[in-house]
Order: sequence, then structure tokens, then C-alpha cells
Amino acid sequence: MYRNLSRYLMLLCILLIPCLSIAQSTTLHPVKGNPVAPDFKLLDIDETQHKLSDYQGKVVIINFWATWCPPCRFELPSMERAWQQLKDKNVVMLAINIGEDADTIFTFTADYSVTFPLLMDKDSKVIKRYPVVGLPTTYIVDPTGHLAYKAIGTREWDDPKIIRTILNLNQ
Amino acid sequence: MARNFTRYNSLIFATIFLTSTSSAKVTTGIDDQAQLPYWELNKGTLSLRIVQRLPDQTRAYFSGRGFNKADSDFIASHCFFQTVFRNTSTTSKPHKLKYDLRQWQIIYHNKKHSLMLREDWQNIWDHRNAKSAQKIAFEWSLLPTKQEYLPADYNWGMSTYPLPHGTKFNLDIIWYIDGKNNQATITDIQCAKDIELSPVEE
Repeated sequence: MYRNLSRYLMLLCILLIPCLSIAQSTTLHPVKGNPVAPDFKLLDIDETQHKLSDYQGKVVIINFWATWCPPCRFELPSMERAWQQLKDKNVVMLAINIGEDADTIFTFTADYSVTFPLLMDKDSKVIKRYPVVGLPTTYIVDPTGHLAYKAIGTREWDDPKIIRTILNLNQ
Repeated sequence: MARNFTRYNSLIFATIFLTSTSSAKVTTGIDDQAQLPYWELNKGTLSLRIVQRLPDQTRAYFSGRGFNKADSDFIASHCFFQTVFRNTSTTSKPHKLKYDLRQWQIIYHNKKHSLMLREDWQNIWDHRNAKSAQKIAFEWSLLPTKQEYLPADYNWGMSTYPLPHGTKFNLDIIWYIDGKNNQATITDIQCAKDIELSPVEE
């Protein structure tokens, strides 16, 4: 009996280890004190201007990234899948590239096709106003313009748990 | 009864072996993606992997970010590792993890040295009159000097060491879990050797 129990428990442990690590990539952390998101005005690669305060009343996902950052590249496809689920639900997704020009980003999108706006923070002035020290870092801004959630490192953005957390900010 | 007790003990030990997170464990091998040697430290909720970077790889990477040949060669003359720092705790048992690279020490030839951090490189680039775009790319390519991670958080970034190519060294690492100090040493890390080609004689 113990031999069978032992086998089951060992199998359970082996199966659980990868599950735990996958499950963790769906975690968003509440931002303490919910400070106001620093406002910014940036151009995207199609030269359309985006001002954060213009999106007041909507949930805004702000992702800081760069083409040369491997984990940033890794999460882009799941961000695009999430965007397809969120774009008609009072949510805005802005991916702010750090330090690169439109040509570089445009070339990059040949391999990583996304339909949400790719903004350019060429002189890194915007990222320095946010509490960000590494890429990728993502903030979720609530409809009142306050920082609600944060994620350092990649996430599975189209995971139902994350989608639910984002949509709940609209309530 | 005695046989059952032995089996029960085996079960307990097997479970502890699989789930233990309290003891430091350093593993080495070849990184799947980079196909270069790595050193990985796992202790508690910390996972730290450093992966060798070839000088040519670093030279090419920074040339691609707009650095001129002299600056790219200067960068590549230093020892670089790709570094992945991860908080492996779960939301059901969360822990806050922090580090400050200024507390880490390189042990080389029985002497202690500091890592070269973002701030050190910023001074170098100011002195060498690097362009703003290059400074930005360099800064954000490096592992942050200080960082705080909640469950599932992690960063990638390069860490840099003022050591010659091919050098072997030990690295003393300090980190904090929920404010409590932790220390470990990774021994015999090796900087990648540079490739030196000689002209082929005909």
C-alpha cells in the first residue's frame, strides 16, 4: 500500500513542479497606494500621438519593452492574443519601446506582428518617470488613471485569470 | 511493521528531496538556447542563472545598437554574462525577494572585486562621448543594479565583470527574502575566451 502511495506522491510532485511554474506567469501584483500614473505624450511608429490622460475612463495596459530584450519578445504573441480579446472592452494596450527608432521597430514587426500601438520613448524620459528598472515591466492603469497592477518579467497575457483581472478594473 | 516503517521513511525522504527549497544548489551545464556554459543557483525562492557570452557575441550585439568599432571592442574586452534572476515563490506562499549588485563580490586571485554596474558604465560612456541612444541601449541591456521581485517576477540582463577573457572566479551573492539576508557562493565561473584567428599560411 505504501509503495503505491509513494509512487503516486512522487508522480504528483513531478507533475506539480512544472505546473506551479507555469501557473505563476499569470500573476499580476497590486501596486501599493495606487499612485497616479505619470502622464506622457508619445508617437507610435505610424506617427500617431498617444497621450495617456486622453485614455482616462479606460483601462490602459502599459508595457515597457525593447526589440533586443528576449523576454519582451517572448510575451508579445500572448499580448497580441490578449489584445484581440480586450480591444472592444474599454481597454487600451500601449507597448512603449525604449531607445529605438521607428525603422528598427518596423523591421522587427515583420517577425512579431502585433496590432496594438507601438510607442517610442527614444530618449527614455517616460520610463524614467515610472518605477521601472528592468525590461519587460508592465503596468495596468485603472480608468481613473491610477496604477493598479504591475508585472516584472513576462506573463501569459491571454490567460483567463489575467484577462479577468484586467476587465474587473472596468467595474 | 518494520518494513512498512522503512517504506514510510523512504516516502518522506523522497518527498523532502523533491520539494526541499532550503539548501543552496548550484548546477552547471550548457544552456539550451545559448549553447554556452551556465551556472545556476537555486536556494529558497531564488533562482539565478548566469550564462557565458562570447566576446564576439557581445561585440556584435553592441555594434547592432550603434556603438562604433572602438567602443564595441572596448565593451567586448570585458567579461559578460547573460543573467536571469527569478523569484520562484508562489502566490499561495508569497515571498518578496530583493538584491543589490553593489553587495556582490567577485573573488579572483584571492582578492575581492566589484561588478561593473550600470552607473559605472554610464560614467565610462560619458567619458567616451557615446551618443544618447547608445547609452540608453547599454543601460537597459544590463541587469538592474537593485531590484525587488514579487512571486513570478524576473528579469534578464547582462552582468559585467572587470576580468580578462578565460578567467575563472568565484562570485559571492547576497539577496534578501522578506528582508532576511541570504548568502551563497558560486565557484569556478569562467569568463568566455576570445577567439583569436591566425592568418592561414598557404
